[in-house]
This record gives sequence, C-alpha cells and structure tokens, in this order.
Amino acid sequence: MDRKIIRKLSIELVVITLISVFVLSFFYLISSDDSKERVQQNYSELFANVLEASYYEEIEIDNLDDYSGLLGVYEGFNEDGSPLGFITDVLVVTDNNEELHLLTGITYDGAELTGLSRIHDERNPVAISDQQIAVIASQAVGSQIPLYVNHPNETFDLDSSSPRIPGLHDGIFYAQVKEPDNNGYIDYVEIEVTNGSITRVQWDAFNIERNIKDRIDAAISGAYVISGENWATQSYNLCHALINCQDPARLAMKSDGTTSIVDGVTIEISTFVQLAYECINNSIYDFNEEEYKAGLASIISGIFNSDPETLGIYDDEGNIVFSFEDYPNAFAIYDEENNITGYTNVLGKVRGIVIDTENMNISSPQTTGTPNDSSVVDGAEDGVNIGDVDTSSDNIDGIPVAEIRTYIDGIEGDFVRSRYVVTAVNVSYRFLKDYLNWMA
Amino acid sequence: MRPGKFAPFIHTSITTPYINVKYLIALIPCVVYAIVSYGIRALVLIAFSAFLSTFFDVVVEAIKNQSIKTNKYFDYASISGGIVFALLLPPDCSLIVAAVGILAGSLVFKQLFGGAGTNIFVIPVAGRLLIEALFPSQLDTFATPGSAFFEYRSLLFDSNTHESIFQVGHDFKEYSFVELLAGRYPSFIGTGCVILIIVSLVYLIMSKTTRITTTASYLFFVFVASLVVFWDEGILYVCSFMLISGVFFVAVFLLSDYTTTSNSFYGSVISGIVSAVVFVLCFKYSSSIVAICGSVLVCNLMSFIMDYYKLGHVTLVEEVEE
Amino acid sequence: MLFGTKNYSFHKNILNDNALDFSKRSSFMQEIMLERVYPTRIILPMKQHYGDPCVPTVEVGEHVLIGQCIGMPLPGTFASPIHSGISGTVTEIKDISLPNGTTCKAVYIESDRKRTNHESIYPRSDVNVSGSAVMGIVSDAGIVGMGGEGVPSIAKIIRAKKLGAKELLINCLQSEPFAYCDFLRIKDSAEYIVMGAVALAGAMNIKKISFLISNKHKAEIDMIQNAMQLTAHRYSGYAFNVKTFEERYPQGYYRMVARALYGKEISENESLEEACGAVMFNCSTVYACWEAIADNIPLVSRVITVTSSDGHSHNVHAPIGTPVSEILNTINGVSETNKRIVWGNAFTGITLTDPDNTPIIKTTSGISLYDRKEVIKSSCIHCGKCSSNCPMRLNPCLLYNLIGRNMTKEAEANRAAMCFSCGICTYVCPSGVNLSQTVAAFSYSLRKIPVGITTNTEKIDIGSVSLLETYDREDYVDDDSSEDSFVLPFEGGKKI
Repeated sequence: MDRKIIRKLSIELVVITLISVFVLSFFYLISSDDSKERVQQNYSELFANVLEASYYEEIEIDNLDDYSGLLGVYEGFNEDGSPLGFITDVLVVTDNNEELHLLTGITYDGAELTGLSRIHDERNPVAISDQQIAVIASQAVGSQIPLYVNHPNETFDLDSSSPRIPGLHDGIFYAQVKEPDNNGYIDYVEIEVTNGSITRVQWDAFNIERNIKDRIDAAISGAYVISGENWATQSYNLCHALINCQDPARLAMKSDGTTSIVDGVTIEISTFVQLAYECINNSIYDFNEEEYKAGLASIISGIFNSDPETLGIYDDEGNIVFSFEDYPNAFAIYDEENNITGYTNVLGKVRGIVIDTENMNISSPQTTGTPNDSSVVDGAEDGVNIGDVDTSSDNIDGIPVAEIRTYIDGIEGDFVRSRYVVTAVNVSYRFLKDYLNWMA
Repeated sequence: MRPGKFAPFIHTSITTPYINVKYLIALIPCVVYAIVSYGIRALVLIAFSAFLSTFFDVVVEAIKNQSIKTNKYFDYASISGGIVFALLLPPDCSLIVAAVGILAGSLVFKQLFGGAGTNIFVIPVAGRLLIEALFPSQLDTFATPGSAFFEYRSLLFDSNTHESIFQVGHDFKEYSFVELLAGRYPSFIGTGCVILIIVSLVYLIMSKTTRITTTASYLFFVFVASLVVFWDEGILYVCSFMLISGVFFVAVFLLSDYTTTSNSFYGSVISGIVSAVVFVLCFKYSSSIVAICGSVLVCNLMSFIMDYYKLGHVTLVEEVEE
Repeated sequence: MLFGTKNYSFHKNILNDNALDFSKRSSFMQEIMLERVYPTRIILPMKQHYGDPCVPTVEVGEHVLIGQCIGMPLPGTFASPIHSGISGTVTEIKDISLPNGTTCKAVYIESDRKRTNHESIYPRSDVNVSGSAVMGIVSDAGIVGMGGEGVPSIAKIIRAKKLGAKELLINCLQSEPFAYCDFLRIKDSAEYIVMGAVALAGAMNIKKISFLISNKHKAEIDMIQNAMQLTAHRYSGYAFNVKTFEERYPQGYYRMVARALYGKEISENESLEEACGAVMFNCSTVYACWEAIADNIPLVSRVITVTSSDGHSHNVHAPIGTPVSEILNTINGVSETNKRIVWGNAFTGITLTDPDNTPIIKTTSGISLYDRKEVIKSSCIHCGKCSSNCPMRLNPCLLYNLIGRNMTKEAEANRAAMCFSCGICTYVCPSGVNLSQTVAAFSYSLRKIPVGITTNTEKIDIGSVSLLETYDREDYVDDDSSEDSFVLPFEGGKKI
C-alpha cells in the first residue's frame, strides 16, 4: 500500500469513527426517554415492596467490592425529589456455595429496615421459601438495624465467669448524664473494679429538684412507679447482670433500648449502657469517681467563672446537681479556628483526651477491639460469606456486637438460614453507615 | 511461449492487506459501541485480543517459516481476528479466558488447515466456541450498557462478582425498538448495535471488499426461519429477535469473508439457508453464542463442501517468478 | 426514452463494481496536444499484421520515398503490404524478433531528413469511388486492424460482404487505462472517420452504420454526432446512429460488443458477422481507410499514446517503424530509468528489452513505462474476483491450478481456449497471483492457426511504387475456395 492509500484509509478510519460516535449519540439521545422509563419500570417492579418511592436512582459506588456480596445500591425519592431511603442488592453465598439474592429497603438515615424481598435468580439457591422470608421480614421490617437472630441454644451465661474487659484499673468509677430526663432525674452509674473485674455496679438517679428523693428511694417508697417490676429491682437486676457478663455489649440491648436477656428487666437500658461504658472508659484511663466529680465541678465553675461551693451545685449527698441543658457547648471540642469539631465527656475535658462520646463503646480498643472486617467477612467468590455465628465473638457480620440494634426470632427452628437473611441486612447496614459518613 | 513479461502492468489497489485493513476499519463502529457501552474493560479486551492474536500468529509463522517468500506483508487479518473475537465476548470476561480462546484459535484451529489464508473456518468463532465450552459459567454475565464505565476488575477475576439484578433473565420485550437498534440492552460487547453494524455493512459495500451474497441470504433466511419457529410470539417478537440475537453481526462480519464463504452464487445462498436454520434452532434450544458460532461454522463447512465440488480440491500451485 | 439514453454493457452483474472503468485514468491526457515524431531511421518488420509475412521489395542501398511499398505479400499468402513512412536509404535488411514473438525480416531505412512523398500520394479530386475501388485501396494501402489484432481490413470487408452483414460497427470503445489514441483521432478527424465508415459500408453494401462509444466520452460523442450531421445529407441512403456503452474494459472486444448489443454469446467457431450480422472496424482503421481514399496515402503512420507511471503522458504521431527509443527521446519529461518499457498498453502490452531496435508497428497503440515494483503476493483468499470479473466468464483460478498441475484436458474442458489475454484476472487478484500469464499462454497454445507458411523471402522486384497508383480491383470476387483464404485470430478457424 502506497502513501496515498494509507492516507485515504486513515481518513476513512477517522470519518467512520466520527460517524459511529455521532450515530450512537443520536440514537442514545432519542432512546434515552424510553430507556429511563423502562429502567424506572424495572426499578418499581423490583423495589416497590421494599421501599415505596416515586423514582429510583442507582448510586455509583467505587469501592463496592469492600462490601462483599453487595451488588448494587439504589436510592429512592418521592415526587418532590426528597430522598426516602436506600435499596441494596445483596448476594449472600453460603459455605456450600448456595446463593441467596436479596433486596433490602432501608430508611434514609440508614437506621431502619423498610422492606425485604428475594430475587429468584440464584444458580444454586438457598432453600428458603418466600413465606419464610416473609416471616423474617415481618419481624425485622420497621426495626432498627443491624440485626441479629436469637440463637435457641445460645444463652448468655451471666452467672459464669465471663471474659473480662482488659485494661480496667481498680477503684470506684462514676459517670452521670449531662441533662435530666423528663422527670428531672439525672442518671448516674457507679462501678467498682477489683482485680480488673467489675465487682459492684450501681445505677440510680438524683433529681434536679433537691427535695425529691433519688429514683431508687422513690421507687421503693412508691413515688416512682413503672410498669413491670419495680424500677429499683430492675436496676438491681441489670447491675447484677453487668457484674456477671462484665461487658455492657453483652447485655444485648435491642433497637428499642430494651433487653430480652436479663430476667426481670423491661425498662429501657440505653442510659445505663451508655453510662456503664463511660465508667469502664474512666476505669481504663484510671479516672476515678473523685476525679470525675472534681472535674465536673471545675467544668461548671468554668462556665460561671466561680467556685463550686459558691455556685451551690452539690446536694447533701455530694452529688453535683446541674443540668447542661442550657450549655450545650460545655463539652465541645474546638479546633484552632475555634470551630466545634466534636464533643467529649468529663474525662476528655479534664485530661484533654479526644474521646468520641457517640461511639464510646468502640472508642476503647482495649475494651472490645476494633473489628477487622476482612477477618470476618471473607471476600468470597460471590456474595458475602456468613460470618462467625459464635456469639462470643466481638462482631457479627463485621459489626461490633454492641452495635446490634434488634434481635429477631427468625425462622422458627432454623437459625442458620435466618442468619443468611440477617447477614444481607447487616452488609447493607455496614455499607450505608460508611456511605452516610462519607456524605456527611 | 511468447517472451517478455506479460500484462497487466498495473494492479488494482484492492490487495489482500487492503481488504484486511478495510475490514479492520469496518469493525471500528462496533469497537466504538463496545467502548461507549462497556468502558475500559471493553477497550482492554479488544486491545488485548488484537495484540495476542497478532503475536501468536507472528510467532507461529516464524516457527513454521512458511510465510510467503516474496513481498512479505503484515497480515492485518490477525488484528481483525482478535477484535472480532473480543467483540463476541461478554463485557465482564476475564483476560485469561480471552487468552485461552485466542491461543486455541491461533495455535490449533488456524494451523489445522495450513495457516493464514487457507482456513475453512472463521478462526475467532472457533476459539470463541471453545471457551464457551470450557468456561460456560464465566461467560454468561451480561452487564447493562452504560454502567460501570471505569470497571476493570472483571478483567482479572471471574466476572460473576458484579452480576446485577438487571443483567440476568432480562426480557428484550421490555426494550423499545430504538433501544434495540442502538444496542442499549445487555449483549456481547460488539454485537449489540445494529445501526452501527449497518454502517459497517455500508462501508464494506462501498469499499467493494466484501461478498454480500451469503450475508443477504443468511439475513433473509434467518428472518424466514424465525417467523416459522417463533410464529406464536408474533411479528414484533421476530423483529426484536433479529435485532438482539447478533444475527446482523454474524451476517456482516462473519459471513462476508472471502476465504471462508462460498464464492459461487448458489453456494452462498444454500450455505446461508442452512446456517440460518441452524442459528434460529440453536438460539431457541441452546444459547445465543452457540447459535452465532454454530451457524458460522456450519456456513463455513457448507461453503467448503460446495466449493469443493465446484472447483475440486485444488490448492494454488507455487508461482514461478520470472 | 423514459429513463434517458440506453447504455449498453457486456457486464450485467449488478453486484459487481466499476473496478474496470478506467475512463478517469485517461481523462488527464485529453488536453495534451498531438506531437509529431520525425525519426532518424525506421525499422519495418515484414510481418505487422495477422497472417503471413511480406517479402521485401527493396534492397540495401535503395532510396525510398514516403508511401513507397517496401514489402509485398507473396502470391497465395495472406498478408498486407508494407510502406515506408519516411524518405531515405535502406541500410539493412535482416531478421528481427519482436516482443510479441514474431520473427521475420525487417527493412531498416535511414532518413534523408527530406520527408519526400511518393509521387502517387495526392489528394483525390473525386472521392466518389466504387465499392471495388475502396476494396482495392484498402488492400493496397496495407490497412490492417489498428485496434490490436492486425487483421488485414480487406479480409473483413470480403467476409462481411460474403456473409451479408447488415450493420457496420465503428469501434470507438478504447477502454484500456491510459490509452487515448482512438479518441484523439475522433477529436482530430471525426469527419474522416464518418466518411471512412460510409466508404466501407458502401464497399460492403451495408446501410446501417453505428458508432460504438463509451458514455464517459461526451466530447467525442458530440464530435461524431456533428460529423454525422455534416455528412448525412450527402449519403441519405445510410442510417447513422451512435450507441453508447458503459465504460468497462474490455468492452471493445468483439465478443463483448456482441453480448452487449445483441445479447449473443459468440461461440468459439463463430464470427461476429455470422452470429450478429454485423462487421466491426476500429475507428483508427476507418480513419486510415478514408485517408487512403481521400489522400491516396497508404498506412505509413499512426497515433500512439506514450504513458509513463511518473505522470507524463503524450499522444504522438509517428511513422510506423519508428524505434521505441526515438519516440521516448522525442518526448520531454519521460524517463525510462528504472522503468519497465512496455510495447503496448497496461493490459495487453509486452515488455521489451531493446528499445533501440524495437519499432512500433501498425497495431501498436501505445508505449508505456511502468515502475518495476512488484505486486504484493499472498495465498489465494478464494475471493472469486477473477471469475466474477472475467469477461469470458471463465474461472481463471481453477484454470490456473489445472494448468499448474498439468491437467490440460480438464483445463480445455473448462474453456481455457476462450481466454483472450485481457489481463483482468491478474489485475483484480488481491493476492497478486499472475493468473493471466499462465492461462493466456495455455490458451494461445490451444489455438491452431492454419495460415500458410511463406518460404520465399527473397526480394520481389516491383519497382518504386506505392501500389495505390491503380486501385479499382475488380478481382475481389467472392470465392470461398480461393487460395488466399485465411483465418482470423480468435474466431475458431473460420475461413474467409
């Protein structure tokens, strides 16, 4: 081929490329409406029963492989364009290479399951009927996630010697809430650590009105009445349970803040769990009750530029009766430009340690250990492998046990298969938690 | 014998390399479609296949040392063969699977019939059918066009990881006619867009470097056969079938080859009819890739048989240079 | 006509391309003026026509004039006289081998630079000559088919007359690339061609005259039509018309014309006259006929196209016998360095190695210079282009293989003899296989040409004449059994 022909062919090459791009663009343009309509139609057919929305959009995820089993994530919107929630497309692969392809609908804050349905396209499907999926959906939909299944043979042996949280210093440690509840009670928890083990726990509350009895006294006297067991009794049971299990995470608090594994406890235990974690944290940092109260008093003094005695914040029993309701920034952490970057607690304020108070339970690596995702959720061939179902492990599906919000009964008599479904939900939760953090 | 060198003293510019380059250019629309629809992984698959196909062919020729002794030229058919092979792959095919197909094509199928220019089968199709038989589970994923443009990990691993809910069990009845024309449905990376394949066909016809008798016969009889086989589904189904089944790709790129199709009119028509019937039946009772490859190979075989009886099995005698 | 003028074509396959339309390649030569060559010497082979060689009528040292007969057919042989195109002295008479394989005696004449015409050459005052006079002039002027075959024109006239041909076809279908000499004749002397056609038609008692020309040559068509209009009123008994053809090589071959015009396939043993009732002359031949009639000048010169692959192309008017080297030296810009010199045109020419001693002859329409580059060769890809483009509908690829394997009977059975060396198969072969050379050589060997063998090559003493001093030859009486019966090439041994 001479130069003339090569030039001719080169021109043809360029021309046909341009024509191709033009033709393709043109046809893409004129078919885009059809395409969008068809896609929405497909989305609606698949997603409507897990998350009702006016329209859906796929979210482009670069690191989808970090969440093994997660095939795709979609976002649902209402007619105004306001986001309603997420739909995740998850393929769970069992050890036997059976597959379970599920769609989960989750609220926009990533906290609650809105729907659950199965896609019947597995090559080697897990033997779960649609009715069984529906049973699980009836238990989980509307509940907070992540989930876990109550194991029939799994008992939290509260009376046995449970593994201790490492790194605890001996002494008495104390923590109280910053703001009173609706009844004006300021909850506090006091734990005593001896030889690295929690040996005494007390959960009580004093009132912002100093003439009102503490909650235990009020309960005993009949002034503070709740449904079920007496509050004082329930508080005692709970404190006893913590002494037995040594870890608030093992109290299995559900998404509604209650627990079903401590006999005689029907009250919401979230405040107790939070304060217990703070006490444990204080123990880890050897920040005892006296130091705590002194620190708290000094924080209050700082607000008013006056000493605690003059301010009169102590009651007769030495409790610091003060509400930070009107001083929300008392525990704020500031950067160099005086912008608030987060909030800490008394320990953090006094010691100058940055403590994430929102995730207190995982802030102490010595306590629960940061879960190593990859060690649990193994990057399998397809989908996500089921994580270790041993409840004594520190995490479930890559999520710290303490983070589990809801325990469901699952399919009756079939823990394992229920677990597959829960895994799909938990993988979705894990992704959304990160995704929402990225978006924040 | 008269003395002197005889006429003609000029030669058409349409030489074998020229025909191959024209064919290569005709593949560009499908390559553009592949890249636009399936992004980086399509580009890498095409480039990889073209390179590997050429490399193997060069190595084999060097080993055999049987290349044409005079005026040796670069065989562009190796490049186009590699590209055709890549265009018949699903978008999430891994490179190792592609390499196996090309290796088998170049080293086994091509050399079985004596190397370049003497094949009776379309080599990329034979290679493609082989990997379909060897790795069926790794070649049954069809990604949605336009999604995951920058996805590349499927090139390195098994493709099933990214199977999406919209990529399996899809029904082309959902798609509008324009979408089917434009190839906006999951398909092999280069077979989807009928409009661009027609652009290629027009280019090839204008270039006068193609033989369209088999192409026309095949297209017509696939339509007729699909009318018969899919009669209950209706005419719209049949039209959609014509658009999505890859029949246009087969007709334009795999049945217009000079070497492997019959050079007689009746041979072309008859081989077109037989391969059309094979295509429709394979599509109905097997898979689309079996239909594509099976019909092409049957057409090749038919063409060979018909030309054999017409011409006798004569191979070109060695030319004596003056 | 509803859809415009009908264009004839031998090629009916709509699927095939226009790869053999070379009209664009010729167009760039249209504006080039005719150049004249005055050689210092000429070489006149005694066989420039189809048939037997002539015998010299001059001897070394003899002075000859332009138009003087220097070669004469022996009685009982089939030949056409040869005349000198220059005035000068005979320097040598010796054997010569032409590129086409012809070996014969040749008369070498050194020019005296005076360009003196023979006394018999004069414009004829009355051109209304009789049919027998026309035949005499055509015969004695040494006119042969100038389109390439070299059949003495008188033979065609006799045959047409005998077979009662009804239509005279004037072949203006020059379709080889770069060949333009016929069109130059039309542009230059369309009226001479029309007049010549009338004269020939009169000699053959034909009333219908058709000019065959490609539709791409619109200017030439106009010129012929103008010439027809100017002439028609003088010859009211004749029906003139122009038949246009699709441009495609080799449309001018008589079998292709028969297929296009009459839809007839001429078999191996048939002639155009028999099959279609028509006789065909090349337009340059017709011009030469009228020149002989009007100016009483024999065929001593012709127009040839000189083409060089570096882009230089010329139409030159040269005396027949001019050495190729002298033609090339005359033309500015044409260099033969590193080029292959071809005696003829791109598709039908033959290479020559000694341009100094190779002359142009009556049938040479071109001299071409081509680069010595080789065609890219590869294995046959079974494209079928050779068979789909073969004008004789042969399968050159098959024939090539059969001949290569010495399966000659099978090759004959596949009509190898019908190949007329058009060269298309080699031209279109994308793999560069030289099909034409093998098949044409085999075809050539199959044709038995029963022409007489001339044994007497001594000088015939006729004196210094042109043969055109007397031209009315009443002895041209139809006689199928006459001694000078001959066989036209490629027409299966049909006797005239």
